[in-house]
Amino acid sequence: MRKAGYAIVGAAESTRIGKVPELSSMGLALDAAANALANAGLDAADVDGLTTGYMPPGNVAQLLGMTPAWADNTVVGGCSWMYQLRNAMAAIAAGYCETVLITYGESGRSHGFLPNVLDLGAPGSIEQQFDLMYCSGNRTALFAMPIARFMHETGLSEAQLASVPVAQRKWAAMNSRAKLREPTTVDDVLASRIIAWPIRRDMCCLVSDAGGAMVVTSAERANDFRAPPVYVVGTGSSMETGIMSPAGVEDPLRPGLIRRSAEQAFSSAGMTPDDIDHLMIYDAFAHNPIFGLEGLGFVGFGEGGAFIAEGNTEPGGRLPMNTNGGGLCYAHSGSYGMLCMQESIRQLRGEAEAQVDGVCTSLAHGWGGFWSACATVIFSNQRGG
Amino acid sequence: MLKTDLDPVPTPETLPYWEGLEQGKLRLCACRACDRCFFPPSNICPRCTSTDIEWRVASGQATLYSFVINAQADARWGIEGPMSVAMVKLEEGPMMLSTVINCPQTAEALRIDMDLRLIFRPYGDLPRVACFEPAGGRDA
Ligand SMILES: [Zn+2]
Repeated sequence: MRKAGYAIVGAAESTRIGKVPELSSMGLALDAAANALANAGLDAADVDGLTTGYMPPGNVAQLLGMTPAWADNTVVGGCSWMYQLRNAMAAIAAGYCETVLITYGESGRSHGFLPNVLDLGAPGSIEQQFDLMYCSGNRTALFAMPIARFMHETGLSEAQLASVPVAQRKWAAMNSRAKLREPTTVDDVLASRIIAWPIRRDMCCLVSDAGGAMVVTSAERANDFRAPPVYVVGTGSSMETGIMSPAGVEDPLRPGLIRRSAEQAFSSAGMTPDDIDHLMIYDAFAHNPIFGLEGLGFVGFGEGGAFIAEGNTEPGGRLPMNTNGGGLCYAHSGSYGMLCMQESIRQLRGEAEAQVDGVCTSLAHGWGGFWSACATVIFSNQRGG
Repeated sequence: MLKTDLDPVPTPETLPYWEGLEQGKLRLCACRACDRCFFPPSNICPRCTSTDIEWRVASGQATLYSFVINAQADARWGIEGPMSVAMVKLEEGPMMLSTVINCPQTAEALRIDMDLRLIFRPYGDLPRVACFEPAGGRDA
């Protein structure tokens, strides 16, 4: 492992998640920001960099009472906050700022997804002209497009697909903040109604209210804060198509955007998949962890479904994955990348409700749009080097 | 929920595609520099960045790359019940999103790599949009 240059020195989610009608998206972002700053032992005025997703940074700055020298509002879909973490590290390296607050809030359940999300299918865009019409506006269909061919070529079964939420429900059962905590079975999942075959309701993420925030600074300053540091040891990202334009992906069964983001992250960390103790793969739908395991290099092509169905990612398995219960069982407020990283950080601090023993490294992988963008972040509780 | 106007809004670069459909033709952009068709239409070739682009009419021959079966079709399709959403590989090379109709909308009837042919069907106020059916014909 290479020596890390940056560290997360404060991290938190909104105080409540799930159904939080008393807060707007902005309110959730501010609540999470306040929690993350308190976690770091900082006042908002101590922070000189700010990132927001789908929200004007100026509004967030005004409401937090801060005057950031540097701000960023990169939006590429659900993994935007992973992109923003990379941007924050670059801004720190460039000397634009020293300490960056990354904020996210989305009232996906109570007050609707964030307004800018609507622009992702803006009139005249690729997807609005050539994609959304054919799926009758059902976006689940677009994310699920490659699955039938994947089943045809690899033998992935509907039962294996159904085993993804079954495995994650076992983690959620140990997490008091998770929405779906009751055990479920492959038969139960396959009995839920079809949304867009082969995707059924229980293979789709939740619709929740949630926020999350984190504070990032240079690794040299990592021990100056209240919270135990979590180091960012490797990152990568890649884009390929429009936000919801799966027909444009070069190889939909082996999406290059996952692989490219993973290769950058592993090479910048000086690590391989064998070095990862704990894994978070953004699970908007049940097939995402299967494609993620393969694209990230944890299993070979066509092996992801069996790997999950055999219990390798469950409690007690050799590669604990989506240990908060995931977007399928924990929470999914519309953009899950921030919550994905929050669980990596909790596991590395030893603070997770479903804590895995001996986690020293954690990889968080996120999607942006449906086969549009990917980002990979490798964290460690050791600085390395 | 997310809301988007599903009636396609052409841009200057894509207008010949939409005008072609009205005339019963599926037009594709082709790059003269690398002699390849691409999709969606654009003033730039995504392979070589050439601006030397012409329009060609697709043969209408295609194969089914992958699909889902949407539980509910938008009313503008005038189709009751499930409706497939298909990734269709055109004979000219490009992949486009479409639907395969005129056959049972089931995983058994929709076979990966099956031969398809272009048909046109109304969608809302649009008289013809590009759809596909099994090349063997209705209920093949
Ligand atoms: Zn060209």
